[in-house]
Amino acid sequence: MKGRKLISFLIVSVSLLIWIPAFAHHGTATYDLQHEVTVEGTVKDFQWASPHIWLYVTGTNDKGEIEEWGGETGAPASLARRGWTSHLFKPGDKVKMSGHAAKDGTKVMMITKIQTADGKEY
Amino acid sequence: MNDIRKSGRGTYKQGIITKTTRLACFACSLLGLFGSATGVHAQNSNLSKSAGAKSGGSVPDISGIWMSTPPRRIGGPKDSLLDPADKRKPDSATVVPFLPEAEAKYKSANEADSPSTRCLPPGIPGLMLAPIYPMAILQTPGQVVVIHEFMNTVRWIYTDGQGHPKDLDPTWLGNSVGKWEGDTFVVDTVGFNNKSWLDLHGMTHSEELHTVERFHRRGAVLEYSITIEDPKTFSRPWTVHMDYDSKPDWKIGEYLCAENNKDAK
Repeated sequence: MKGRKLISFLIVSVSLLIWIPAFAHHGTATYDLQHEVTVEGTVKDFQWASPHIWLYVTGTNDKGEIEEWGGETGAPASLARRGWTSHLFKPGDKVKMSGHAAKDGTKVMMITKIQTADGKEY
Repeated sequence: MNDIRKSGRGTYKQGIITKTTRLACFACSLLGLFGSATGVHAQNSNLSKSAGAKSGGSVPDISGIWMSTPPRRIGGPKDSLLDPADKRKPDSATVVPFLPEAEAKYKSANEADSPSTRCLPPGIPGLMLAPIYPMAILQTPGQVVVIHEFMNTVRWIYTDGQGHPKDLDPTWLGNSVGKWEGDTFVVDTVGFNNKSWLDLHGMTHSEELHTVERFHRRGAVLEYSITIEDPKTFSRPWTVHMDYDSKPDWKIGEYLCAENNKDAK
């Protein structure tokens, strides 16, 4: 996969109109709720566990640098009611992961939407 | 208790919980239980025989799985539970009667310090604020049990008339006793420790916290209010109202916070 562009990194500078209230375990203050980030790449790991499901996506940004982003959402008990399963994503899957990035610049986000290669949105 | 009701414009009227009114409420509850047993509430379609009363009488059925109804309290810094009807309101101090020191402490709180980031329970009413996690209410003789999916937390509310113990060791959820006032289940809780947050944003309290919760079923909706009293944190008692939707097809899922908690410091 070396040399292949895996991630396109976009910052959408619009006010958030759609927000998924996925958290209760902790607040949302660490995330920039005013902006949304979209990362396109390959699933490295999908952690189906409490208190938050984590999805890790890796690839190359528009500067040619390898990046790994982690996205968190609610607990399995809650996401299962929205149709998520522990088998929803697996390493190697192509996805677009959107969410609110951490204010401190670390490459983690609060997920608002996942789009899979077949166009399905979660 | 002179309940604090929220007006249509999102303001609150002041009320006071006194020992006298508490005694009066207890007397009302005894009458309420008696009334229930004699069929006063027979017009209520949600009756459950022997469900919540040790005496075996009929009381309204509030059992089942319930999910908080939008607009929810959690959505941004410092709006939290404070005014569920108007979550745009940015400053909680407009509705919460903080004492000055408590308000300053709240405004400077760091969400990353929340006990829940270490998988500790959010307390009361924090548990009731979980935006995406339901609760199950079980009514059994002598107690009502509330199972919260959030944090896998269980509350025991004793309805057998035992009252609060005289010497309570402080706990995260306190000691809860419940009684029926007419068709409303009233839960009185004391004995809290001072470690929990009342919301997710840093609203701390003292061990003098005292809450009175009211559960009233209206068909598929569970109406809920909580009056919060803590003379070391607030200048007066204050009340928040919220609703829960019945989710008869849902099940309570597993939530084991320590499994993959990345927030612990």
